[in-house]
Amino acid sequence: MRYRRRASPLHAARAAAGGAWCAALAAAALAAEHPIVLVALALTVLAGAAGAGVLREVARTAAWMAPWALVVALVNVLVVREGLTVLARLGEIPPFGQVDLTLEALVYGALFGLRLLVVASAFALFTVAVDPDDLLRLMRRASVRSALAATLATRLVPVLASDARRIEEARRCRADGGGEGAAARMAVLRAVAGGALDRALDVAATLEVRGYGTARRGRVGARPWSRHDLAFAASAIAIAALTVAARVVPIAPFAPYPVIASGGAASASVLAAAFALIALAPLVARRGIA
Amino acid sequence: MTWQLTTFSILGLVLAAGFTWYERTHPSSKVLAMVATLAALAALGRIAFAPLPNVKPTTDIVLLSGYVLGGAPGFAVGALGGLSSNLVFGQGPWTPWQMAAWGLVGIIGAGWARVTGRRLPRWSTAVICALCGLMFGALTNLSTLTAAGGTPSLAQWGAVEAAGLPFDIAHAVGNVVFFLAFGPAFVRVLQRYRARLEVRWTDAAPSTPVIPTPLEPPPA
Amino acid sequence: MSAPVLELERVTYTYAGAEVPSLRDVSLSVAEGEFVVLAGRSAGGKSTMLRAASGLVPHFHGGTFAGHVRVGGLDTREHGPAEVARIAGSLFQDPESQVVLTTVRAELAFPLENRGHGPAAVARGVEEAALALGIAPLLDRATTELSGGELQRVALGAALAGRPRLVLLDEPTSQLDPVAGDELIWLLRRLNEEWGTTIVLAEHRLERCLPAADRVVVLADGAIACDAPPPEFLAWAAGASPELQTPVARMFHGAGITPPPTGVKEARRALRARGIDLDAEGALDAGDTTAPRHPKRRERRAAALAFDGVWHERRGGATVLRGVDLAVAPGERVALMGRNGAGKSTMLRHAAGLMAPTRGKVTTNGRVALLLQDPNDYLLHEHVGEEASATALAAVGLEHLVDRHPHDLSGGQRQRLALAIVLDSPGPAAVIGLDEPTRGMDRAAKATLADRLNAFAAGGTAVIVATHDPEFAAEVADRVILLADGRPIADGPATSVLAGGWYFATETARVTGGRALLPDAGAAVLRAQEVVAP
Ligand SMILES: Nc1ncnc2c1ncn2[C@@H]1O[C@H](COP(=O)(O)OP(=O)(O)OP(=O)(O)O)[C@@H](O)[C@H]1O
Ligand SMILES: Nc1ncnc2c1ncn2[C@@H]1O[C@H](COP(=O)(O)OP(=O)(O)OP(=O)(O)O)[C@@H](O)[C@H]1O
Ligand SMILES: [Mg+2]
Ligand SMILES: [Mg+2]
Repeated sequence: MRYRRRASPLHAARAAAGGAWCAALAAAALAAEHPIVLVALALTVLAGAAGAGVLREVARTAAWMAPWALVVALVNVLVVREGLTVLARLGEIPPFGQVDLTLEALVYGALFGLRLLVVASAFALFTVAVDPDDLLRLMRRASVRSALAATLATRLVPVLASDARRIEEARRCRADGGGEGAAARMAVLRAVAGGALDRALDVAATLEVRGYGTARRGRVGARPWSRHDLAFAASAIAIAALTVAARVVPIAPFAPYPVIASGGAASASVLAAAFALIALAPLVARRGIA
Repeated sequence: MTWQLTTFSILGLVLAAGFTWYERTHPSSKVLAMVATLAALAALGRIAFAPLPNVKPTTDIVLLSGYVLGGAPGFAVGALGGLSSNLVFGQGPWTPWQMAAWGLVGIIGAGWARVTGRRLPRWSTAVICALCGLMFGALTNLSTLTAAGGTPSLAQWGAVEAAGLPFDIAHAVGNVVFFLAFGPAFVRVLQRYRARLEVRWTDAAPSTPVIPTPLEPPPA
Repeated sequence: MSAPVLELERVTYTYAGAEVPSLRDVSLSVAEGEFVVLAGRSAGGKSTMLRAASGLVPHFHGGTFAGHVRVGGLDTREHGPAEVARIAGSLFQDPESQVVLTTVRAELAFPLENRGHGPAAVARGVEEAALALGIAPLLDRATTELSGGELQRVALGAALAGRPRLVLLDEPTSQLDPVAGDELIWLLRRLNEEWGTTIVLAEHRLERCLPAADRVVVLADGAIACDAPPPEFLAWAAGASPELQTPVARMFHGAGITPPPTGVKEARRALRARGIDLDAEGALDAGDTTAPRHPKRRERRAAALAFDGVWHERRGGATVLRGVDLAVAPGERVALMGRNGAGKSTMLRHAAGLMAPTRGKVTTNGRVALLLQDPNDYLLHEHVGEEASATALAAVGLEHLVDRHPHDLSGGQRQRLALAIVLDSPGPAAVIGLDEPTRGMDRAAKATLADRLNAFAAGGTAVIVATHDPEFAAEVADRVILLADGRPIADGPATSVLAGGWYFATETARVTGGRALLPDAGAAVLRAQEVVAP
């Protein structure tokens, strides 16, 4: 799963705006209490991924996270004893003691797991649709050396991976196969580590002759804001504002324990719709993107 | 919700402090390239062993980097390793937790070098590797709680740690195996490069007397 | 005359951990606007001298340094490589580790940003460097997806961004195909002529850059052996160091014609003045005789290596090999040529079973020994002596370096070490495949390698060599295959393929109109013509 440039409004937006939009969606999911709102946010993230042409990647992350979400939800059921509506008495389970399966714990566990999935998906969207170079350039404004090290590290990951592959191939081309079994494996791993540091030396030399040693704090130019930049930034701010408002008022409260106490489904639905509309609006601007 | 805000602020502060420390040491381009390469190597280790659940040499690499390079670079290797490996695994609320935890592992490595006087004892270091694996797991499991909605209870915390325990044990065992197999060799490679990176500019007098230079005045 | 832009004054330098100095009492002064070529046998100290000029030696490699290096008036004793970089742009041997950022645009902007230029100046500098090198279409590409040749150009762009007064280049054309290599030299010549940029270039294939050079500096064992304009250098080389002669110079020398010419054009002019006209009328016709043909079933069965309709499609969708049909008989010596990205390396990887065809079949009748393109991939141990047997090391002339760490060798020595590793086997291999084995090698090492390969072939081993060097191809191969876009477009005896093209012709063939490929044969042609002409 890596960033790749694609034709979509989200990819066209600058990293600051696109990143803020993804983060705002994740924050909204973290703050959301009502199941209707949470489900709406899940669908919104998936729709956003589809709009950005990366649905497959995001869905794969969600699938990858799902077992973990399930485990967390189940363990929650086993451990938390705050619910009152007992559905079944499971009896004595060794490390947990007397366990009762309650409706509240089940609902809470499910929401917990769902929230985990939504947040993971929102950040998966962030990973595949927001240009890391652009982000690092932002970071450079704050600190040149750390940002440059981060840039270099991200660039070196694929380089070292292909180095390792080639060294292994070269070993197979040797007449003696580079030794037997485990010894050969060891030699290759050592060579990869040693070769990597050799490369570090070369890269350091390059940094030096490109004048890094006298580098000043990066000045980032005033790049004009495109309509995608503006749209995603505005959307991110609106999502954040709505999230805060929903908590403060509160608009769609939901408390699982001791018995489920939920705000009106109507107000929750309105909030959910508002989130979806605000979040997806910037993705509609497809002029010039086709 | 306040819990999430608090933890993220603390994490933010920890990471900012770590990176400020690293910047304050004014790393030369050699150290910088070395940090980046080791971070990439750590990330690569995590990616290469992704099929085995939670077995990864990353923690060992970070620990040993801190051991050889010192605290600030060790922290940077750990934090950047977490950051760049998540470009493949996906960023998320867990990213700052992992960055901080691995950063801490790098600092522990530097501390261990102090304690052992750089002799790298085999078995006790293996134990440190295992402990670091468990500590890393305990910290990063907390990231799951950000999704708890509201301030998590002690019981939930216990639940999450319990759910993560098998993974953490796998991680710790993997660390020990990796260290016993590669640790000493890896440190030897690192030390060789560290020695090479230290500029030894012994300015020997020319074998023949230098003729006074009529061509250029010395630069001001 | 203006102050020298680069000046070395009695520089003696020993690498950290080395016993003998790599530069011995070197003094050199390069004036503004000169085009200097650094020549010399492998391990002569060319790369070391360029590193000293960029300040990396001694600030970066440690070691013992005596004397002074001044770049644009800055003494490298007081000013580090970063400050020297304001005056000198450098390009070193391995392009892979000289590109540090993720996109081409960021890469070109990096040196400018480091100099503290404002955003507008950076944008302009990037645009100009990209246009000068013809890499404008690559600006938004990721650097990890570029081919070797493209990477080399991007690295050069980064070295040239900001218009340095002095450019230092270490074998910049070693991995480029003949077309791209010639283009690069032309670009440097244009920079030199139009902008007065001073150029110092280390190169083994002198025939390519002599016509552009003002001066040739020869380094032997770390000391300057010759420092003269090209004609005098050639005259010197004829006596003192014949392996440094360019092919035409050797041909003229063999035919007893003086003075030696510095390039093809001058050689033609000299011959015409003597009444020898070798224009293409008598040249071998390279028409249908070199069309690739389908191997017969019998040939295929007897072959040491056979490709049967091999296709290779990358997962991204790009097709690298398109239906390659080929049979190489035991004892046959084949040269594989073609531009960067034509698919030569991919073909060799298929032969060794490192890649599987997406369609078709590859068969071999035994072990395939393959030298991959990057010699660094073969270095597994901590001492040269552990990498290969003593006899194998002696065969490539590295027996005196057994205690050295393999990563501390010069470029050409590393290439020879990799070769020793690959050719070091108890029993004979059925096929030997070599991917650009001559990069960084001097002519003497090439000749030794050619002899060894001929000996292997005489023993029944099929030899297949991918190379950008037509001279080497002419020396080893009895059959040359030209690859374009993953398909052979010419396949025939070396004499017809290498004589009949513009770019894949040897220098001798260009002068003699295709009558001879190698200097010795060319000299014979000239002698015969001279008997006729007067
Ligand atoms: N890092 C190093 N440590 C020790 N010795 C070195 C190092 N690099 C090069 N040398 C030695 O210094 C000498 C000069 O090497 P240099 O790389 O300058 O040669 P070169 O002329 O560039 O050769 P080539 O054409 O093969 O690239 C060689 O004997 C080489 O073995
Ligand atoms: N790792 C890779 N990812 C994507 N494309 C690749 C990769 N390696 C090679 N290619 C592509 O495959 C094609 C053939 O590459 P190959 O290395 O066989 O060329 P070549 O003829 O050996 O070139 P050169 O003379 O530059 O070595 C090129 O177009 C190249 O871009
Ligand atoms: Mg060299
Ligand atoms: Mg190739």
